[in-house]
Amino acid sequence: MARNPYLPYSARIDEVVVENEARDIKTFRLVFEDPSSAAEFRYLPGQFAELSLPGVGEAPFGIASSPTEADYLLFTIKRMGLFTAELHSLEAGTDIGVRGPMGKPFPWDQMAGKNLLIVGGGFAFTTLRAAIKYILDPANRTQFGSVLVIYGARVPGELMYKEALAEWQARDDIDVHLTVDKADKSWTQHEGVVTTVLQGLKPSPENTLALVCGPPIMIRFALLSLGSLGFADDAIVLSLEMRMKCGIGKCGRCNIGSKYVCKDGPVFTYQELRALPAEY
Amino acid sequence: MTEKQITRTDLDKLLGFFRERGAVYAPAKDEAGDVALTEVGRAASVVLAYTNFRLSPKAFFFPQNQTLLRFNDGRAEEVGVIDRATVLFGVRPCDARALLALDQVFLDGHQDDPYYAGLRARTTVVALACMRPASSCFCTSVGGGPGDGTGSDVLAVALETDLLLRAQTPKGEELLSFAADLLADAMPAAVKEAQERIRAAENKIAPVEVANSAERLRKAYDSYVWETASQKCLGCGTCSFLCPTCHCFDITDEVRGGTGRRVRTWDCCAYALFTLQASGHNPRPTPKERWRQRIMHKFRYAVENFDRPFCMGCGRCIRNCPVSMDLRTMLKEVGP
Repeated sequence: MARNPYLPYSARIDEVVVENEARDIKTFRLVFEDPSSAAEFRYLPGQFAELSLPGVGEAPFGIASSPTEADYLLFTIKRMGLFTAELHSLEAGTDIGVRGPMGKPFPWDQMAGKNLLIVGGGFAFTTLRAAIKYILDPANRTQFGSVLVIYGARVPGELMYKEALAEWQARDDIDVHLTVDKADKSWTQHEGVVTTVLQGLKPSPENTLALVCGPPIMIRFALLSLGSLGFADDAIVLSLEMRMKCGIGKCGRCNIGSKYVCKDGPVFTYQELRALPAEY
Repeated sequence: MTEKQITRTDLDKLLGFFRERGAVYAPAKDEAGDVALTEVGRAASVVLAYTNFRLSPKAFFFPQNQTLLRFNDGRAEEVGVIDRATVLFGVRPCDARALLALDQVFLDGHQDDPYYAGLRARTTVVALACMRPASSCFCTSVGGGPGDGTGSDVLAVALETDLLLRAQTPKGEELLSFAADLLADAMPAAVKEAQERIRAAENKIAPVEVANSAERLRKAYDSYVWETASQKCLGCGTCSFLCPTCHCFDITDEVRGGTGRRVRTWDCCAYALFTLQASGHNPRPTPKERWRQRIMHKFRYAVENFDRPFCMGCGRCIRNCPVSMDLRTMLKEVGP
């Protein structure tokens, strides 16, 4: 008997980390109550899950951890609506449900053997963190060519995963460029929007796949920049968000044209997106 | 394929026979005088002269409110489906055919919906060929017909004095063999009469040009039609709730003190909140986008995903719209 797709796995919030100065973005570390659930919950970076709180409901979030980390799941979540407000009020030790994994991951088969350009903005960097962790895992790193990361936020205090960023910047098998729209006195890295840094670095499109996640305005200009640098539409990979309920292609609200973001996405190439109506 | 007949005066006996196995629902007049699927044994006598029920029978498989999980002291628990055999007698062919569309969504073979699967498995559908199509009916334009048996387990045809019963599936064969003592083999005259009656009904249905809608709609995303045609829409959702193929749903929690349920409820793409995101962004902010979605989903996206329009031509949305919106008109205005 297949598992009831509406039944969440039981988990516990193991740790809560505040990610930004505004204190409205937190990373929740979840541990499955039953270790066999962790074995069943097989995922790859780019996929998402529905978190469940009885009495509050469910909402979909990208998975910020990589399966190459330990048997926990990370979700980095901005306080935004009803569910996330409730979630942000919870402390370590609280029970929570997890349903998934859902959707298609980043195209790992196609990414093997390629140079990777990772462009992220704001709090959309979560599944990109998962991707970088996955790429840098000793068992995986040799599968990929060079890895260039450009990550931007409005101000230094809004950059997430500061420890991981510092660790990556100290390595020589990944090139991480951080930028902020508005620097403060202590900031020594790039100042300006992500696309300015991208234009300055001029990464070659040759044998390169670009993963792009960020706010709509960043996406729009990043696509223009990547196009001008010579990136083909099918070499640009994006991840979309939509209001969702079931997460398994039945409740009918997350479609863009004939595609459902929950099961046909959330990861699409720009080429695939261009074939769909611009209704997102 | 088994083909049987029974005199109409023995219909009550036949339904009584089916009742030995579980619940039987058949057409009877409700308090308002409308013919509706009613549990046999409780209500007035069975009637065979009606156009169609106001409500589609989809609720027997996809209830308007369905408990998905129970919460007990904060812990989520699965809910079983009551395994009570049910026979639906008198479902119109358009509505029976709609079950094939719902099957493609809920039983996609990838992540089957256990609640729909349970209700579908326990239910046997006896369709009754349609003799009195309404002026809003157009089943023959969307692949169906008044004598179409697809989606049903048994197709019944009401004749002058008899009922012809034709098994459509193994489940239907089984139902007829269960009632074998009451049934006679179908006579050629009965088969011929059924054919003539179905053909007469077919001739009463006005064709609508929808055959190539998917192709035309591919070019119509930016059509002016969406703006103008949707202006009078109230966003009430009647069309969706009555539609035999509309299957969009919401999931909400009803919990007090850690105890309660997670429930699935019919939802509708005409509602402004349907796609509203927590950030305030809404990809379908006005009736224009919402109507485009409705028509595109039924006549283009469903064809692309499932190889059939998700419209059975039952005409309920046309008959019951409080502001007389008519998707046939919209399909015509979409252009060549």
